[in-house]
Amino acid sequence: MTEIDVARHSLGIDPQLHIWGWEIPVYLFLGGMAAGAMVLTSLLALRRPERSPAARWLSLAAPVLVSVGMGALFLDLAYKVHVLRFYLAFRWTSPMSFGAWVLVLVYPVTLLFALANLDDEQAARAQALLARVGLGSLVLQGRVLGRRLMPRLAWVNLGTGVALGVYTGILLSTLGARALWNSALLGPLFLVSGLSTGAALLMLFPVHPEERRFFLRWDFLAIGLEALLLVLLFVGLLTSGAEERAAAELLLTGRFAAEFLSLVVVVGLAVPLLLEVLEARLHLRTTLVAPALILVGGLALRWILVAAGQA
Amino acid sequence: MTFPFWSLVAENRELGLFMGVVIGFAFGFVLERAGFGRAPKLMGQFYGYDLAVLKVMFSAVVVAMLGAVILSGAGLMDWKAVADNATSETFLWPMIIGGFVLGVGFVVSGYCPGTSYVSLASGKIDGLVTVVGVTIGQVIWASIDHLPAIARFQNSGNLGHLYLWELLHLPARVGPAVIGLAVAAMAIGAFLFGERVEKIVTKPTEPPPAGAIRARRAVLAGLGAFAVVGLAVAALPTGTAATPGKPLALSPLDLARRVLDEPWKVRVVDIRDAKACAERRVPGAECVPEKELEKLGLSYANGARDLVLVAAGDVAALPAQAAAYPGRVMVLAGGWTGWEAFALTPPAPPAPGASPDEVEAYKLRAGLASAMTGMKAAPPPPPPSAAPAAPRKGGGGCGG
Repeated sequence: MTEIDVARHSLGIDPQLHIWGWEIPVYLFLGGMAAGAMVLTSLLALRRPERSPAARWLSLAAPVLVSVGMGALFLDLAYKVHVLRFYLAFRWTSPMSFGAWVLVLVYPVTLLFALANLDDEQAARAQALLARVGLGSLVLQGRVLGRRLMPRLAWVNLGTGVALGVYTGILLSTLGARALWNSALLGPLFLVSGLSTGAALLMLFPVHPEERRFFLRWDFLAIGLEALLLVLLFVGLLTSGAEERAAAELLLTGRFAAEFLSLVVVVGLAVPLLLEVLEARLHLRTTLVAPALILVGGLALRWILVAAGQA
Repeated sequence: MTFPFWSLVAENRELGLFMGVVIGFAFGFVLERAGFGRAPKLMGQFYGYDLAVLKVMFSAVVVAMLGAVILSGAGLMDWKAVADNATSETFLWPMIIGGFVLGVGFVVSGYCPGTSYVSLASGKIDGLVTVVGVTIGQVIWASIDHLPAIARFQNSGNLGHLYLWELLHLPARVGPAVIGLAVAAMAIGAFLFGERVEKIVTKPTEPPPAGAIRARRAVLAGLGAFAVVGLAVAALPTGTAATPGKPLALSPLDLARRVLDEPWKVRVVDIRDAKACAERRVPGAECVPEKELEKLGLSYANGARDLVLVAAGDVAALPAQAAAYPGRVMVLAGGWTGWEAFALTPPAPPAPGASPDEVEAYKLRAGLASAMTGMKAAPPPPPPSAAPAAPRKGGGGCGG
């Protein structure tokens, strides 16, 4: 609002300020979570050849999440047919074009990686399932190909995950007229937040305790970095011009303060970190509370940033 | 009560909500670590083998009570205002029935609403079942409480804000202190009684460790000392805002700000005689002479807005009808005379070389005065009525 009042206010240019509804934050959340899951499952595959069945199946989480997220994104399009136009051109300077192609790249990479990760029994089940629609041999071939490419494929999967995570952040930060989004920190912020939600998602499933500890360590790092980046984001905004200050105050003292401080800072960062530290130190029984809170916080972060950037 | 105190102010609502979340997490965390997320611990109350919950809850109630009294004595909060605004009124019959229903649920599930969330967070299925049951019950009640018979029952037996010392007809000066003393004594009694019951039921074979005895003594001594301080404060004469009978004064500047910034939060009643009020009054004021205040039915009015009385001068004691208003009642300091002198008189401009503070104060007052007088200025004279224009030839439409 403020920046557009100051810079230009013409109904011909901005007939509507609030143009993004629930679809975009949901998509950013699922995309970020998929990116985090891709990065962590790749790291786990590179580190431990022996994995629990749950951890092997979880390599499939990323394509599922991306598909649901892209469904939400598709609902947001005003002209659904124009989705084709994304794929008739590639402009690497446009985050939307960049992201559209990253999303396409995600499918073959994650599916090959997931197939390569399945053990024999799991592969047989997947093959039996897909054989009903006549795609059984595809599973077999994909698995053979994936296994042949394996250590390199894990690195490619990791890189694609990072690209996806960063892209979900820079999608917002390219809209420079919105003071809140006009920061290069949003890319890394969404990447580490995605890493944290990805780790939380993986910890919701019955993985091996050793694997859970591995995800937990990455989650500590991600939460710490996320808190640091949030502080830097606000320092940057508060020390800039009046519009940026107003945008930061929207989250710190203004209309979105209660939601932001409660859901993002307390529920999404402070409490899960405290719970995880206590869990690790006191050897308490693990519960799903900390991961569930992280997921709530991750969704809230995107929801609030998207809503406040348009307020 | 929400800490810190400035988060309670309406302007800091966002901060208040945030503090609520923080306190909620801290409360749940302490409950969990104290073992209150386990149904056997809670059921210990009914079987007598573990009365920790009784002891903890009673001491918590007493600590909160005494804390509120001490802070009010120190002028940091106003316990009467908090009690009047933050607590429910007493609805006698619905509360008795509701208390029984809640008690049945408590015994069946082994949890109260707060501890059921704690146990859910510890990953217990019975906690989850309780939370789901409570939620379903609330949804069902919310969908039927508009039915006439149920609504009549829900609102029956409304006794307003009741205080124990009022029920017992104790004088307002010492009543709160006496009741506070009684509750503190009851808590200490309950603590000792709980220990005795536990000992009888569990029949311990070996004496408790020395550390536990020392901790118990420390807890009781701390509670006792806290009670003494709290009651001393309660018995001392203090000038907290809501002392009954003494009206709360609002300066003309504050009233002007409220009338201009948030007129929906304030109800201004001008109790001067009708003629004077009809002539000039505070913007938005209702003209109700003091003798006719009865007609407003203030004791039944919704107390969401602050009531501000405007008299001709200062008000020594609140009229009884206004004192019965459920919300906050204030009087304009200096009355109409003060208002006229402050808000309706343009201030003298500051002398050259005045300090920035003086200039700032002048700007504020001048702005207020112009806003107030501008609002109340006589309407401009109507434009002189010109001779009626000659009827247009050729009819209407766009053809002129």
